[in-house]
Amino acid sequence: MRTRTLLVGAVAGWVGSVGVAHAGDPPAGDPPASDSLPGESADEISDLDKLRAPDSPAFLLLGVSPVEIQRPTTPKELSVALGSFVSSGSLVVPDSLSVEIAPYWLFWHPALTGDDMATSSPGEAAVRNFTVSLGTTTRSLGQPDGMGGTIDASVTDLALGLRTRWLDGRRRAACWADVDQAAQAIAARQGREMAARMVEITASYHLESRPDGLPEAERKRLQAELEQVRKQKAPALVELEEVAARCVEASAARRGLVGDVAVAGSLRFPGGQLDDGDWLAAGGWITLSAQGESHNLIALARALADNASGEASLVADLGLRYVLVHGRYALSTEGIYRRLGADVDDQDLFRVDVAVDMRLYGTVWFTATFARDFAAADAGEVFALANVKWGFGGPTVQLPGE
Amino acid sequence: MANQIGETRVHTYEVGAAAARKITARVTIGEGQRGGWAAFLDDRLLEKGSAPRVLGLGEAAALRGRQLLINSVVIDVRPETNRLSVTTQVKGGRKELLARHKNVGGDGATANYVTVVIFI
Repeated sequence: MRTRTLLVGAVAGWVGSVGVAHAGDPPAGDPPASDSLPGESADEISDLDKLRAPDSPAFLLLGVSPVEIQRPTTPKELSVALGSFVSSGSLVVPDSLSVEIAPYWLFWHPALTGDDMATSSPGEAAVRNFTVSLGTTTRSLGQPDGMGGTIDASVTDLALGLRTRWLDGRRRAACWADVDQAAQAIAARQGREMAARMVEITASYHLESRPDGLPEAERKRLQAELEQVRKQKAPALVELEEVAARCVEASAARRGLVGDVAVAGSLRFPGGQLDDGDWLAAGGWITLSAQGESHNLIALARALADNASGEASLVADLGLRYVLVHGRYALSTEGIYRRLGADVDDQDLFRVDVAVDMRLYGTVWFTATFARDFAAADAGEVFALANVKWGFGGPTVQLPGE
Repeated sequence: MANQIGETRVHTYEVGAAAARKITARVTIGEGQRGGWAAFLDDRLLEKGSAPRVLGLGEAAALRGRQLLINSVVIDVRPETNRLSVTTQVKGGRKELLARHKNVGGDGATANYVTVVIFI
């Protein structure tokens, strides 16, 4: 199967920058606000991929990309990770924290089989894929000094995000059977040798004449002897590891419906105390995609309420993209409708782009792109502000991966 | 090469006084991981598989003094967890036995667990 990616950058270079009225200039040091979600700079083209439900919504809302994220895997590790919220017996906001928690996977699931994972219902998938992201960041902001000037003051922002994938698509299941069969063959081959030795060893324990079983010391001795045998007969698992690694890679690609939802909220703590916070921003994302062998359809909605400047603003987006890759032809089309809060002149904006590729010969492709950005003042100006570009070279359209 | 874990556990199981009671065993590879198991009664292969399956071992009287060996090979294929577990449940005798191996390996780790049940 041919896989290629939509080269957004190629389109972005000539469409121009997004220019949308802001409710007010944010204080120095704040993450980008207004029409852009944090993480999306104002002069950067907004494309549909950036509107998808983020993996860690809390960090996106804070506008940070932590290098190191704590991912506790046990309740004990979780309590250690959250320990920084307590200092000298009182609750505080840590200066810098990045934690991502998958609550379901904090615990053992001895009855959960590999097949259960492959056939999850939407409810089961939502529980198993549920993650909580929690982040804090401290920055310096200019604050009024009471005498007409400003003074730099340190503030700490805290964000909490929730995310889950309730539709998990279909994974390629055939290769799991290869992994299972390889493991079964190894288990049977080694087990046959183990069982033969076990019968020889236990003969000396005269089990048939011990109605009360083995005393603890003898049970432990037998266990130690059998463990020695297991070590001697330990199978080489390199081949199994290779088969499994290939299957893990192949099964990463999903087919069918994939649905993600995420919400996040953030607070600002000027004094660093948990009882002294102001709301900063809140966001919600929902993404639904249908992935086929040669096409991908994705629909999304997101909204951001932002209070960084002290005046609340709201941005809401609806988007749709369709990508088709078939033989020597490829098509990508996407549209985003954006609704801004009530305190700007033009509340309704939209963005459209279409890219078409056709392979002429070998690796030479004819490519044509049409795009119309949010910057247009009204819907009637679509052609005036649209850009059409064509050329020869490599393909620009590819199916998005999962 | 990924991390390899291995362990052997020996348990005794009282089949009880009712000679005709059917004793069964069930093997489950947990934590959403993949792998395979093979079950032997003494040195005879009963069955092998990957999914949980109830194995008929026979009547209580006929099992006394014999041994069940479950050999399992498990591999970590889940990005969500590095936990590996295999549970053997034996029923039909005086009490239920839940014999569990569980370990945390690294990414792509493998485990070779041997469970031996001696019927008394």
